Amino acid sequence: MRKKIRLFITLTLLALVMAGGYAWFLFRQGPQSLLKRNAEISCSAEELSAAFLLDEQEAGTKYTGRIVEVTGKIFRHYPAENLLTLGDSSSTALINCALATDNNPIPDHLQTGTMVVIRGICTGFLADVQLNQAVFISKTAP
Amino acid sequence: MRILTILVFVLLHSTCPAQRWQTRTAQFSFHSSTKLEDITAANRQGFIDIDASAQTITAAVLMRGFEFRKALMQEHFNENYVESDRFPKANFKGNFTGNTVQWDKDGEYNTLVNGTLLLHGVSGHIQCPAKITVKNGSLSCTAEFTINPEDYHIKIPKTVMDNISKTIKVTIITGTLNRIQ
Repeated sequence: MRKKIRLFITLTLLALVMAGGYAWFLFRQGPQSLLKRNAEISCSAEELSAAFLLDEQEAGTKYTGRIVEVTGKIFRHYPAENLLTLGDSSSTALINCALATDNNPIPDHLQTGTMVVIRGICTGFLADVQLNQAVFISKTAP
Repeated sequence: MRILTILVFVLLHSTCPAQRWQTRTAQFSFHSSTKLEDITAANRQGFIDIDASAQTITAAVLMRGFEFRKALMQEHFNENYVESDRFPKANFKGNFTGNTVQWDKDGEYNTLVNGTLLLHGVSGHIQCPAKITVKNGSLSCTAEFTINPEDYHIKIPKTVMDNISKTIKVTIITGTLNRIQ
């Protein structure tokens, strides 16, 4: 009987330690790279900005908080801020991508006007459509 | 006489172009420090508009754009504390009320900003020092102030109350603002 109680206590303590360790691991975890996650929505930069310009609330419901893969032309790269905008000079609103700080740099040779695919989490609309944790997926044919 | 008045008005406005600068890449960050934990988050996509003629500053930021080092903390911030779905943006509208800034002359100017911050659906008054740098026609600005989450009806659960400071330091670094016509 004593042996059974001792085994029960030992197993309970072990389970508690493991659960605590797992909770601590989850708490300390940084955001998972979007390179390892699939896009929920794919669209063009024009389509995404047009949706927010037409009806910000409806577009917010559809896109905000989702992983969006956007195809568009590089408008400007801000290396110091690690930001990239997609669109062109005729765009009323651009796609402003805050690039993830992990190992996913924008290749140096990509210039303004190059068509690229960027994956990021849509955070809403503020003068531009904003994506964060954005990662470079690929360069596309013009 | 009326024609003369209109002419003077038109002439004055054509010779004094509006002095207005904007950026969509301002950095807004906040910092909470307690004995148990230091928490920092930053948003690199803030909007700032400075109108030198009117001596006004407008700033806005998307709450979901704040990036934390810990994913779970970011989730709690958006879902439980600032309720980003209900209140997606924070806005600030204010005036420069301190030392005069010579917007067209290179230099560093320490001034004051007075205005209203709308956060979590609650308006609060903010007064803070700001440093404006004018260099070769371009402009940048830094400002720092503190807020109390309680003043903006941001409820912190008792279980984490000791981990989050009652006073949060907010820092704004605009980077270079672009002059707009």
